[in-house]
Amino acid sequence: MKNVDTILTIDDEIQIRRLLEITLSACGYKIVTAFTGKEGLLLAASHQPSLIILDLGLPDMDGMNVLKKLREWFHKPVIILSVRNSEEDIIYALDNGANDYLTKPFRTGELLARIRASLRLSHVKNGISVFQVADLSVDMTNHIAKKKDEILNLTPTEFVLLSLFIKNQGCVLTHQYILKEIRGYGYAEQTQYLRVFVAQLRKKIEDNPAKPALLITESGIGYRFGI
Amino acid sequence: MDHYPDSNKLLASKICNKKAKNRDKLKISGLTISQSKKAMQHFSRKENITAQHKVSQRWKSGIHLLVLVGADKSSAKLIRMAKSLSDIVGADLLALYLENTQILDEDQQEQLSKNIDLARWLGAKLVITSSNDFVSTALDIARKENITHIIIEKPKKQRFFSSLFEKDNFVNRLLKECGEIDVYIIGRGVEAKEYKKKPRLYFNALSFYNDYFLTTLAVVITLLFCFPLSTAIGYRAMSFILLFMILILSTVFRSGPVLSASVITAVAWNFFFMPPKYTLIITKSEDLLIFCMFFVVAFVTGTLTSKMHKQERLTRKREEKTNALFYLTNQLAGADNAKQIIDIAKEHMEKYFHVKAFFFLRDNDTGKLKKYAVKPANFSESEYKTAQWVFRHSKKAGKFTNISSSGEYTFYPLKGNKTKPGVAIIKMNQKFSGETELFWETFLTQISNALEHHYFAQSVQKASLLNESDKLYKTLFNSISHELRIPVAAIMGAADALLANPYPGNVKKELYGEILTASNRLNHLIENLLNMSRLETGKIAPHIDWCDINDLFNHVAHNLKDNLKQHRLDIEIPSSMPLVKLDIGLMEQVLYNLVYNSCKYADSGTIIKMKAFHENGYLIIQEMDRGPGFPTEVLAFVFDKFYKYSNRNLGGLGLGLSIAKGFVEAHKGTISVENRINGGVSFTIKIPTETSFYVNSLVTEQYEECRYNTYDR
Repeated sequence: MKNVDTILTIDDEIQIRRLLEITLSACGYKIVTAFTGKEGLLLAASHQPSLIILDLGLPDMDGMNVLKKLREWFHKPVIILSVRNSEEDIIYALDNGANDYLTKPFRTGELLARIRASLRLSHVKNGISVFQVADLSVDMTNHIAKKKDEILNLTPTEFVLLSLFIKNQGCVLTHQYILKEIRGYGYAEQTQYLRVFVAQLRKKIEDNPAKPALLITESGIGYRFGI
Repeated sequence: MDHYPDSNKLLASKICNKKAKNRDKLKISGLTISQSKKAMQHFSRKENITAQHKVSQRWKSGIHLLVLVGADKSSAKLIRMAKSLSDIVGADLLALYLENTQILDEDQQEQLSKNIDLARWLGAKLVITSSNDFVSTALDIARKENITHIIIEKPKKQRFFSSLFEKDNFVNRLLKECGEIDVYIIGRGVEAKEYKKKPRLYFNALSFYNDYFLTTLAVVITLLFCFPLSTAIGYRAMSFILLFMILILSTVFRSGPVLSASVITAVAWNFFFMPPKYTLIITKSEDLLIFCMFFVVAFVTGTLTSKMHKQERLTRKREEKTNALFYLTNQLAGADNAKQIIDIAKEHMEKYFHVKAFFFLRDNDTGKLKKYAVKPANFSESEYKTAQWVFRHSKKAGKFTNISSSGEYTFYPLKGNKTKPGVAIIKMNQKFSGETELFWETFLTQISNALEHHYFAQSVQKASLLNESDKLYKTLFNSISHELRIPVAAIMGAADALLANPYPGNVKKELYGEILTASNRLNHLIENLLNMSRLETGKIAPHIDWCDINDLFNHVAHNLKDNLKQHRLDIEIPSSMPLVKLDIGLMEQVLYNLVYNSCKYADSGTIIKMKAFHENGYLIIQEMDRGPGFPTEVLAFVFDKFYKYSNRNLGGLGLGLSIAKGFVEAHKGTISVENRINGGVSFTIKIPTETSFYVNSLVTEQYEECRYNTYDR
């Protein structure tokens, strides 16, 4: 029997909540709703949801604080759904443990895709060494990346970058996070390197590097792979 | 205040009695019953309405006292007394100072300014005017101000000579001509005698003796000149020459030197020319007459010319003052702002009073004194406090005054008609003389009025601006609410229809599409409004970071993919394009707005083009379409806020391009627009930007690393 994922939404806007309830239930998820940050934290502890959709503007406390409190013990995906659309807010939320960030108004289709991606990631965390996205396949153990069964000639940095993306497919990764992962601390501000690596990687993995379909730029924030 | 309690009460009761009598008879001084009757008959005529107004005014307020201010100590007593009198009978008090030909010495000037200060301090309305004819001027003013009672001081004993020359003395004439106005003469205090005489000579003694020397010299020269002539024309004709000389001298010098010159001339004439020569003996009676004539001529011309001199000096002084004031007011009238007024005031103060002044002005918003507009280096906090005190109490303070006189500055309040525009601060080495002080205050009044006028004008302007912005706000509000309602109406309509009717699948899909389009439009509108408010509040601080122009263009194309369905989007970026530093979020908005407009206005099927290249440190982005373009005369306005040019009603607030401009300018760049030759419009963005050819060169390093690694493996 298929395990039904429970999604906790923490949002005080009735309309948004109702919309989420309708669309998410229709897709077969079980929905738990909380109005306030405190209630959300309580419900997260009691229901152990597979994913949390969190609004930042809550009546009792700031959503960022809810996120930080959640992250002390909650390791499943958290998606931020907020009207705050400044890059600082988004990066701040992502750096503080949010898996993804969607600004209102949002398209339901996109939200569902993000939810799916996040859930998939949390389900298949360990043990898998070969990833497959579209016509691209990456074998982590053997360090081999293939496109349409042809081995790609990647530099070590490009390979690390690609495996980072493919492991977090569907989720947005901030520039700082990627740079830390591929070059270590201290390089977090050298975004120009990242641009070059990404451009190089695109030339190798995209069908049309000028119109990337796999490695998507999230302007001012970072990159997202797949969906 | 009760210096003369008994006499005052007596006087007061007399005045009150008279008032009561007047009221009984319904005959008010200044206006007779017949005048009032006429006024009743021709009620509507303008002059009669004024007459009636006068009647009612006088009737209402009753008694008006006028006190004449003089330049001696007893005058101060008189003012105090008049004040307590006016308090007792409930009358208002007018203090009048008449400048005249009499020249005041320093003590008198000081006393005068004290007296005037006193009158002002006691709350009397002050009038200062100058005239030769005391009586008629005083009465003129009294009638103009509806004075009912004049209070004067018993005059000093007149000197014999001056009483001979004056037709009638002041008091007698005043009593004769006062008509319906009552005149009260108050006795002089005892102290008046003490004051009586003080030596006047010490003051400019040098020029005084100079005059004697010069007149004597003139006499000697004339006599020397006369010696050779004496045999030719005879001693009697000579006397005419000498008399003529005395006359000339008397036009230039004061009576003392002229008199002494005439004595010398008379004696010398007698001694050197009149037979018997070299004696002082006068033999003929005609000669005695001529001899005496010297003295008479000297005396008469001396008094006349000295009077003339005084008059002239006074006139000149007055003219100087008038000119100074004239130039001041003239320039002040031309001043546009408070700073100019202050500059003009400073300039004139330096010119006429030889003092350096600076000003603290009132802050119009808080109503308090602004701190340190311009301040001299050694101006201390306590001095600033004094300035504030002066501002609050509208009294002068500082050096040479009674209040906190220890400092080196003197503070004068600026007093306008209704407001207090600020404080003038000057540094003076020597106290202003009484007259100068009066003139100085007139000067300050002019400046205060100019400042006040300016402030009023400013607040009127502010009010009209507010009005304007209110209008703008309303237009804007209407426009926005219209723009918001349309998509909302579409969403509501479509959603409602979907709920109510079981439409077939394809109709449903269309309706859903409508809802989505309307929502997008709404979202775009809100985005633009938010961006505008960000620009307006100056909250745009670009987060400059390395950016791949490909990413930028792709993003714009992606976000507008629905709108672009009907068009073809061409992107042109040279392969050598380096990374550039800019805020990709802001630039995305800029290009989004440009392409969005192109989609909106250009016909479907036409090409929209985005092009980027790098040239001389500038990133240049061009966005072009084949739409209708703009008429050349509106090209200058297309970036204006809320400017809409369209012959098709396609909605929109007219914000898109002004936001684009704002965001480009936040990058220190420029955006321009021009019509394309074969139709359509082209926008060019030019942004100075760092490029990263260094990073591009990393690419090659990368390949080397790659080769190395491959070999390694």
